[in-house]
Amino acid sequence: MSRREGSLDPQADSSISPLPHLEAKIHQTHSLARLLTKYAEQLLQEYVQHQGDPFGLPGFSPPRLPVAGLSAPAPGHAGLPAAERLQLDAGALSALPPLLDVVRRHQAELNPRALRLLRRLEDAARQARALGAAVEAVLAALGAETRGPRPEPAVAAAAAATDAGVFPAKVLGLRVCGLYREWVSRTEGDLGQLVPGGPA
Amino acid sequence: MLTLKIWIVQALFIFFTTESVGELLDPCGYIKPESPIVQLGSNFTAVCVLKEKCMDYFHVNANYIFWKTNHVTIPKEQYTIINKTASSVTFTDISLLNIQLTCNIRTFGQIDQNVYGIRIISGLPPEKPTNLSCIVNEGKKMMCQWDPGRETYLETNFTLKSEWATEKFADCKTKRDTPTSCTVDYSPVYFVNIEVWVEAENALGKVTSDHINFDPVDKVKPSPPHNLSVSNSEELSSILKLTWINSSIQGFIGLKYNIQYRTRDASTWSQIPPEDTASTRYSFTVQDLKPFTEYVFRIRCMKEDGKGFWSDWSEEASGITYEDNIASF
Repeated sequence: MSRREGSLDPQADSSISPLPHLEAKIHQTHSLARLLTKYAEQLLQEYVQHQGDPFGLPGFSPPRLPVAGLSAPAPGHAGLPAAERLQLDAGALSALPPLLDVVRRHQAELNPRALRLLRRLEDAARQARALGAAVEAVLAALGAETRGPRPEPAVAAAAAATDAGVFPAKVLGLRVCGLYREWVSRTEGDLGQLVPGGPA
Repeated sequence: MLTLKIWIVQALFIFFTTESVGELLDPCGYIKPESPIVQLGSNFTAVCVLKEKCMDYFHVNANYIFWKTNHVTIPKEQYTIINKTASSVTFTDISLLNIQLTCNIRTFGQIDQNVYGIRIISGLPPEKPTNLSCIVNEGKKMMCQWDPGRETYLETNFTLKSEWATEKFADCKTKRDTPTSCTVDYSPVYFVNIEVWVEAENALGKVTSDHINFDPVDKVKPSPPHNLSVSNSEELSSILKLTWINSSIQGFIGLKYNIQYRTRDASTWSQIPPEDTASTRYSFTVQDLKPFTEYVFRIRCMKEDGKGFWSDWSEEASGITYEDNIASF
């Protein structure tokens, strides 16, 4: 366990039980997921504001298709064992940063003056990587495998598909921002069940 | 006429000390090293090498070289004749910060001529920076500061480095007027541990501080509570109720408070026992006050577990306790 992951290294001080460290790490990662859920909401709202009509209009709802093999959390996700849920969370969080980078590149061409949106997209990629690494650290500390099934790496396909036009690029961005929000929120919920005193 | 003669002599002097009219600025030799930076207290040797053409023209060799520092001739005991073209001078335990060193020759038995000149800069390598600490003012970017160690007498650059486990951030280079602190150019992300350290570098060396590793949420100085207001109670003349609005950080961390109060004409503050204000709240009823008396209040907050920094005090707010109903009869 890297010291940079929040000192979750029982080997570092064998006189201290690893359990408080693990609890602290879970608490910290849960707080991060909660914070990023708020940021993801803000990102999604800001993204919609900059795309123009019909984005943001009531009733506008493009198909929620998988993006580069990444789908939203499955309906049965909450019923899975904790380690499996966290593995899926970690997998999604590792798939999101390159997709967010694709969206940022598209938006840099479509909305070059939307500096705050561009910064939020860049921050989101960075923060998703950090949250994914933190979830993997929790999994490692729990003795679980750190990676579950991963979505196919198809970022190039995602980027190429949107070369077909502006609208597909905007829809891709909407979908990616939505998936980001769903997965960080899902991660918050999954970690919340591990926090002492959290919901069972 | 005299002015013209002086000009001619000067022109001839320049001509004869150079190899040809086409090379008016070609010196008679050179000094190595050219622009040395030397550690205070150390030894230093410079070598002056004469050019063959100059030696032939003036009939001189290395034995004719004499050295000066800041226009004072150095004793010959410090010279070493290396060969017929080169002479060195050695300084032991250099203590001056800035020395002008010239290599000179005595020509024709009486004319002293400058061959070359250099400036010796001396100083010290940087010491390891210590006491590195960081603070995140709510809504602002993280600022870190440190003790730079001894004076080096040289231009010394300090660079604050920071990274997550998953990525490195851009270096934060200090400005000239604030060499011992740096504010990073990225927004803080709470709940992700960051590793921070300082590199100090000058011409004589490079050194790194100890690394510190922390969650930025544990280094926060919150914004103070605002909109502090005071209301009294007609039923109880000994109480005043305070209400306030916490800053937005209370959405992520629990807060604790210091509440202080005094009568309008008092100079010292009393404080509510901290254990009574040890968790996030939006109001507090102060009891055991004197009836019909004006009190002034202020409040500050910090992270509930005591990590980080106290906010600044809020704006003061005042209120007057109600008249004592019994006394009014």
